[in-house]
Amino acid sequence: MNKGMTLIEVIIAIALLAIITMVMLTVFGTTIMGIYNFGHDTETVFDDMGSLDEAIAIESGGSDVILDATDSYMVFIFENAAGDEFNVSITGNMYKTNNLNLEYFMKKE
Amino acid sequence: MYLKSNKGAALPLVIIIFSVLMLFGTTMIKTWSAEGNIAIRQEQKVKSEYAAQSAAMAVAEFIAADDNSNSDLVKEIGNLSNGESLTTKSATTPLARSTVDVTITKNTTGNIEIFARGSTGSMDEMITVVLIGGVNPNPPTFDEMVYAGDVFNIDGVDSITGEIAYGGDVYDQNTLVDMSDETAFTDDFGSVISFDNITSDERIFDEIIAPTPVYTHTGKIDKNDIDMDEMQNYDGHFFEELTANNGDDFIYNGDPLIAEEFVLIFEKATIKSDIIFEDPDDKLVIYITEGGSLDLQTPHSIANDILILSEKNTDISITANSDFDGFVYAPYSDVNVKAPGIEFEGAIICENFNLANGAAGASFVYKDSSLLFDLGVYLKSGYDIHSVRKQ
Repeated sequence: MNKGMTLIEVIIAIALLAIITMVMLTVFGTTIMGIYNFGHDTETVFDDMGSLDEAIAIESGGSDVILDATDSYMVFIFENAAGDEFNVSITGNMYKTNNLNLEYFMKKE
Repeated sequence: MYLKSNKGAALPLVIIIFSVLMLFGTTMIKTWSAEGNIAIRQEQKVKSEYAAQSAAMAVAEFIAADDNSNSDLVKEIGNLSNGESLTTKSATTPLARSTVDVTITKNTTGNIEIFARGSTGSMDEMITVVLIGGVNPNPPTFDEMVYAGDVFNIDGVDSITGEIAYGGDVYDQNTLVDMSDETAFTDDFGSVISFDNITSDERIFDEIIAPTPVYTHTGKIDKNDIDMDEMQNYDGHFFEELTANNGDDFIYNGDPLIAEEFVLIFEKATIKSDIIFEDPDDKLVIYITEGGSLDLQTPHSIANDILILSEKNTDISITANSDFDGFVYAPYSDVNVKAPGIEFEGAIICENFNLANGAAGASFVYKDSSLLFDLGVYLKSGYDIHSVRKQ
């Protein structure tokens, strides 16, 4: 004898389906958004690289600068084989991009 | 339908669908994770690359800069043997979240390789900048007592120890000497004159780098109006026109707080006073700007070395009334020396050289100029950036 499903069985089935669907939608939604965002971040890296390279090129050519420069310096302590130390302090400009804070230091003339 | 009935089909169907969804979900999560790693590593890689490039280029430009030949680092690079290196013990960089290490190596061809490693997170990036030395990076040494690139005129001295080299005509008491005659020297020059050797030569000299004056004195100034003690505390004074009369001596007391060399920069100077050093290691560098002149008439002997460096087209006259130790590096200028009865110990590089009459009994003695150029000052380090190579 073919008995039909009881109402309770149907309700349980629908509930399970809803839970699984919710989980799946959450996973898919999150991962799709994540993939999109990381892709966007990668694009931003290249955008910032473009800005920074352009600023460096323009600064090297002596034209207008597209990124603001701040006074900065780098200090190196070199050591030879005998252990003698040679201190070098180099003053320059620091260029920083707005999105990812990519930085480039350029010695002042 | 090959199934005899639909009984029991629901569960396998659900399991299959659920498995597919799980597989798909897992793949999505893995893709997400991989994409995240790529983005993070890409950002770190780019930051590392800029850090390495910043450090390598900054060090390269520092070494290649015209005004850094007197830095200890550049001097040490000049002393490196081929294959030797200098490495960073520490580096303070303004590059947030990135660190750099730099190694400077003199390669087998004598060029300088600057290797920089930038590190951000787990990502390292390396860049090598190659500097080629257009000029000898080591301090130069004069090989002869006197070199004149153009006119070489001798009126008479007792003897000259050391080679004499000339690039143009040689005159004996204003009479042109036939230098193709190997015996011309001994025959044509006066009997009291003897030289170790004479050679014809042409060479290119290292460019001189103008010292940066700390103070500039414009107009005519008498040495008497200068506070010598104060002047010694600030190295590098430029005088547009200075006169120092006999008795108004330059006295260097060897203040240990400043370098062992004192620097005076002149456009025009007449010095008839003594130059006295209380410390035997002290040295005086006199730098003459283009088109300028120096008339140096020292009444008494000067035991310490005096290095006279000159830009183009200057007129330098040295009258040594007593023994004189010094070097003249003026490859594109005129030098006139009067040295009656004294010993001139050093070397002279100039374009036109005139040894004035009345020097009978004088002797010129070659002195190894490397002793003075160990100072390493004011001559170009001679490096130019040749290539930038990412690795």
